[in-house]
Amino acid sequence: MTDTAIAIEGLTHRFGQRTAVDDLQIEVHAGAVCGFLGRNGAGKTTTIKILMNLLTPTAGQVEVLGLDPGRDSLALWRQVGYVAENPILYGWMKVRELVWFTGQFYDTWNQSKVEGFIDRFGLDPEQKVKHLSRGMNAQLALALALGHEPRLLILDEPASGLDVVVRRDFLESIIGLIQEEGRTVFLSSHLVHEVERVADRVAIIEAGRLQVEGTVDEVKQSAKRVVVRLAENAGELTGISGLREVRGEGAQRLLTVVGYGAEQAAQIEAQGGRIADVMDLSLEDAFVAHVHDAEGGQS
Amino acid sequence: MNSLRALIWKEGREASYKIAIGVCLGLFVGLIPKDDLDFLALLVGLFGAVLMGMDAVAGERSRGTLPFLFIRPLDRGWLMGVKFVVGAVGLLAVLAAYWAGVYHGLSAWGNPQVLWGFLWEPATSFSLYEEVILADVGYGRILLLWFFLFLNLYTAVFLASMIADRTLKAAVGGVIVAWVAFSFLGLTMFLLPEGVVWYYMSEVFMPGLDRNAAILRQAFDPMLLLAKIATAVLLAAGAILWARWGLSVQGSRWFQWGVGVLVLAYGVVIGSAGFSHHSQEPVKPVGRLPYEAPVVDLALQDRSAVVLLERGVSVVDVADWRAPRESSRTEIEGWRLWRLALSGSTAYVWGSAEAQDSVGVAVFDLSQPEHPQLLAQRFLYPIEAGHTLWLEHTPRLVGWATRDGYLYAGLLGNESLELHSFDVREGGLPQPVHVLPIAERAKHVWNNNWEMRLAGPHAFLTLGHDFVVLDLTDPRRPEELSRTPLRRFGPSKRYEESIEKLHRQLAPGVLPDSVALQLRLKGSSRGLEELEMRRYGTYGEYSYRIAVPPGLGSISLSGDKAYVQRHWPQELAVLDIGDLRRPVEVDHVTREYFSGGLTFHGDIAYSRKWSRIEAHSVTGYGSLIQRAELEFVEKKGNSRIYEPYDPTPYLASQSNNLVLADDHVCAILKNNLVVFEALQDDWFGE
Repeated sequence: MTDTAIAIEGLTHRFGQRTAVDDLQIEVHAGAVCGFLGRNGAGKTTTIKILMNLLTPTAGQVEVLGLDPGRDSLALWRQVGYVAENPILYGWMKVRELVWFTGQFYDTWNQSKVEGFIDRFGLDPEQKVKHLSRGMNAQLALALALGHEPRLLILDEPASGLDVVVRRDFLESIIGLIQEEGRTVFLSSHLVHEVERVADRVAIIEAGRLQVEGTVDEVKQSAKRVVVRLAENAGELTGISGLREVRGEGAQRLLTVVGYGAEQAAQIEAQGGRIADVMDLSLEDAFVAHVHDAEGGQS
Repeated sequence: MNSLRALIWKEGREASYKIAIGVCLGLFVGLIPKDDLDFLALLVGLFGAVLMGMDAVAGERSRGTLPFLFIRPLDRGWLMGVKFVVGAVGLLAVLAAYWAGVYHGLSAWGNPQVLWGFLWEPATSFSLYEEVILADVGYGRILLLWFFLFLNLYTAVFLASMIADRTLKAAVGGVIVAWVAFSFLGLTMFLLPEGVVWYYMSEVFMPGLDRNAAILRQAFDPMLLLAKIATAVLLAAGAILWARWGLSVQGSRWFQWGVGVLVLAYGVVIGSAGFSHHSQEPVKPVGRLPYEAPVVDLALQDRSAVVLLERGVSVVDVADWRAPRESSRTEIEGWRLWRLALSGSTAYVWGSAEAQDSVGVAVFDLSQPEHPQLLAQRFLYPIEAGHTLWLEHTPRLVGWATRDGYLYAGLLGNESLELHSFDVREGGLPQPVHVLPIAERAKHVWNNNWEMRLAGPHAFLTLGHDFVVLDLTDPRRPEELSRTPLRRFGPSKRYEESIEKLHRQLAPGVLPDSVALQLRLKGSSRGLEELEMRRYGTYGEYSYRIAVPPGLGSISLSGDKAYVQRHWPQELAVLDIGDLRRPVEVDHVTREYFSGGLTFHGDIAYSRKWSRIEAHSVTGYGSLIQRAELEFVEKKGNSRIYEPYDPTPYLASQSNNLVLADDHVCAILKNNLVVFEALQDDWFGE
């Protein structure tokens, strides 16, 4: 047994010329719910596919539950539950048939648990999968992913396609339930609110690179909004490290700075700015700050 | 095992619609009376293989369900194995339905009908051969053959489906890959002689359900069947093993480019090979002498060619091969001449004398080429009244040759085959010295190419399925050295019985000339039971021939090898005749249509095919490969006269009317005496 559920080190994956994942480092502790945030195309799905051995990385080390996905894939698949983004299931099967079919692959299959979820989600076992709504489809996929009592649940954009009510139930109660059982959850999303609600830790990825990783609070703290009053003769503020965004006109500026500290304060003041206020960000704002163009933009 | 059961259930359910459609279509196509069994059978096989293989993986990939399967704790080899086997069973089902339809259709209502629009019409080209072949091979065996043949294609499509990201790409790519792979990489290439490899590779395009009956070789030759099974099994195992390391969720976006490059490379290789092959223009004659009258036979003596015409003898001076010149021509009244044999300057001609209703021999003295003389003529046997088409004259001459002052005639009567020896040492009329009975009743020797060959002090002939060697060392007491039954394919005993029965029905006077025949097979998958004859008076346009006797035909000799024509399947059996008392069949050479024997000159064998001559190189193990053509093209102004039918080879068959002397090939083509320069041994390259 290991305390680390997922250990990613120096992971790089290229599709031809395009680098989807670039020297990524992430560690997820066992029992944690880790939100994996990033914009569309940031490299989340590629990373997850590598974790599931559906892709072979170009470079880097990956360990999932202490296993190398490339070499121990069978053991990995036995212990990991995975729900893909917009999971595509066998439409011609009935819900009941698909549950039976999936269960045949596992020795640890917990039929009553799956049936419980199906009941809870209000799915009709006799309905054909192709006739399920998008949300029901995602729910069914989740139920199937939990059937073999996985130690690690990997969810790729689980909330997409779900309506608000279902999303809450789905994420909060289900993931809470899972976590109570001591399982690890690694979920990717671009919907920050949803992740904030359930995740202990957050990793933000942009253009394949890790921007920040830590508890939700740590991530929130990792960027600040700074209110600056400019001196009359001062020019525009430039060269402030970690500056992501500058807003405002006249003599007042609202800066978003990643990793704000004494160094940045000194840089602002050196350019004739006076720091009026330093505000914390919400997770969403912190996320935007991290994935925003590093040079920042003025609006 | 639970997971395997679940996979089989899932794959079976997914494939069931395809299998159902394939089986229905196969059965329907099998059942409808048809003109072209060969083509439709290929089409059904192709359809089945592509249908079952194309979306095995690519389909799930494009539908997006593949990751669902791939994250299950199950070895991908097993996963692909189940997919493969289910598809293969589907292919078997489609083929089984098709052949069941064909066999049932045959036994239920016979063939000679074809669906044309809404009208049922008599089929004119579905031949007796197909019916007999189907009966000979049998349902089980033909299904096995077809299954393993198309399992190769199925595997290629399946492999393509594992790589391609779209089903259609997999279908097209798989067929192309199979085509290219089997053009180059037939497993048999490494295991079997070259001749067999060509046979094996060509079977996809020429399955041999026609008069060549090539399928019999595949059906009854364990090596060929094993090679086919081995190729299919190895390919399948390779595909499944490959799944363990090379299978990806996405598939390759470069698949079509890969296939494109393959096709390009294939085109370049085939194109360059084809170009070098076809750039070999037919070899043109160096000299010729046209005859207005039908020419029937040819012999060479010193620098004279003796050309036998239907009504006389023409002596040609060929001192200059490039300018053959007729020295003289002697006509003989009331005879129709057939065969020529030279002994010194005396020509012995076999022919029939119409007025006397007899066959006999005419003797010419050619010692003065400018003034040949008819020395004598003798009528030997009366022509029996009411002969059939196949027995044009009785007795029929099957061998006519001289050696050391003796003339030998193989004579085929209605009831017997005999070797007649004549003493011609004194010149003049042949003096009979001995008659050696060879067979009491000669069956199935109505083939025009059937022929007795003389070589050294031995005579070689075929009799039914037997290869017979006669010792002529003592012309007054020739004896039989050996009689070796050669390999027979299929249960042709029943066929022979049916042919015999038919033969009786074809007795003289039974059939008016204007009546066309339709033959019908009555039988089942268990075999041929009856051969039925139907007559159609109104469909006078087609003729129905039954000229494939299931025996052996002409013999060609080269060193210690004898090439014996086999009719069923159409091929040359290669015999080692090092020990004349124990000839052994060592190989076979495929030939599609064969009109007579081969004449050997060094490492090159010449044979006649229609109105041209083909040259083959002879490989070490006796197979014939590659070929050049020697062709005499008649032109009228600037345009070429096409004359596909050349009557000459049917009039007389000795050496194909083809003689070699002094590095020249001398032949009768389209009633011309034509001279080609013989090809050098290195003509075909190394």
